Amino acid sequence: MVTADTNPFRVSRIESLAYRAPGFTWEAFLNTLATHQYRGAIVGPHGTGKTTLMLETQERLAATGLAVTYGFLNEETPRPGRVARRIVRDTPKDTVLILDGAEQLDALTWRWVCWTARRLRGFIVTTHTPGRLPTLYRTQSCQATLRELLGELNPEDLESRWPRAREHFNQNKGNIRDVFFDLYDDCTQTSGKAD
Amino acid sequence: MNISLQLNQDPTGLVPGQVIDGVAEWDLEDAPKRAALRLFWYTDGRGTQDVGVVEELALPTTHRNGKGTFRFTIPTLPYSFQGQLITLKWAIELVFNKGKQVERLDLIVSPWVEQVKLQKVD
Repeated sequence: MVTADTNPFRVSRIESLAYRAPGFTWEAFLNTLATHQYRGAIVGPHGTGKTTLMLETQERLAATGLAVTYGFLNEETPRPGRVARRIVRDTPKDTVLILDGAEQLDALTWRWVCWTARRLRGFIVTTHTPGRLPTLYRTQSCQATLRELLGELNPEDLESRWPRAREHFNQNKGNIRDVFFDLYDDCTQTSGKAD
Repeated sequence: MNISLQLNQDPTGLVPGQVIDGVAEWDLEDAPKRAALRLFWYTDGRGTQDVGVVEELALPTTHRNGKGTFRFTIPTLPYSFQGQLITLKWAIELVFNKGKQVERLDLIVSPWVEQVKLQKVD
């Protein structure tokens, strides 16, 4: 039986993957952030790596000596407006705040958050669609990235799993996180029943 | 760099409510900015990962090396279990500098002799 801690697509393995995209370099990305005074939006659909990118960005900026705070909102966050206001209010002014999931905020809260965040060293948000802050970078998924990630998670079965992975990729409209959930299910369904 | 965690009990045969103790020892290249020892459980499998920190002890950060004993009481719940969709594990972790240096000791906590194994349901 493939158990949760032997399934190659378990969440701890997915979350340990580093951000990647064709043509992406950390040097260019961090330069873009610095050029824009660490103010702007990372835009992309679900499952294209925004959170992965932001968590790694937090670490890399912190390694340069910047103070960085990371806040996360999603559909399951209760009262996201209240959470966001608290995060912004509690962030010290010499800090770069990364607010992941800014699309969860209504227009009024967004205006308050934006106004209050002016005092911060930087304010980077992620959203699904452009318009809230100037777009600094767009995340998008592609089959080449999926194949690379699949090769890292499950190298021994890469060729046999690839056709199903492509099917899932198309069904999930490019949401790579959901592709891995479906591959997780494939693994549990093909394993034998426990005795 | 050398980090070690030793438990005086068998880490695979712990029961809820049990008091456990052991020794933590570290020898880093520099004095850490942050150091902690924590008892926690976490889930792995499909979907979001859940984590519950039961107790966390702050460790001194004045020297690059150190050694000390610790003692935790394992709570009554949750039990360790292993299934196809999700698994729940207990662990003790010695963490320096927000996870840049980590030593983890996995534990199995169960009121029975073995970890709970969830069976597949058709």
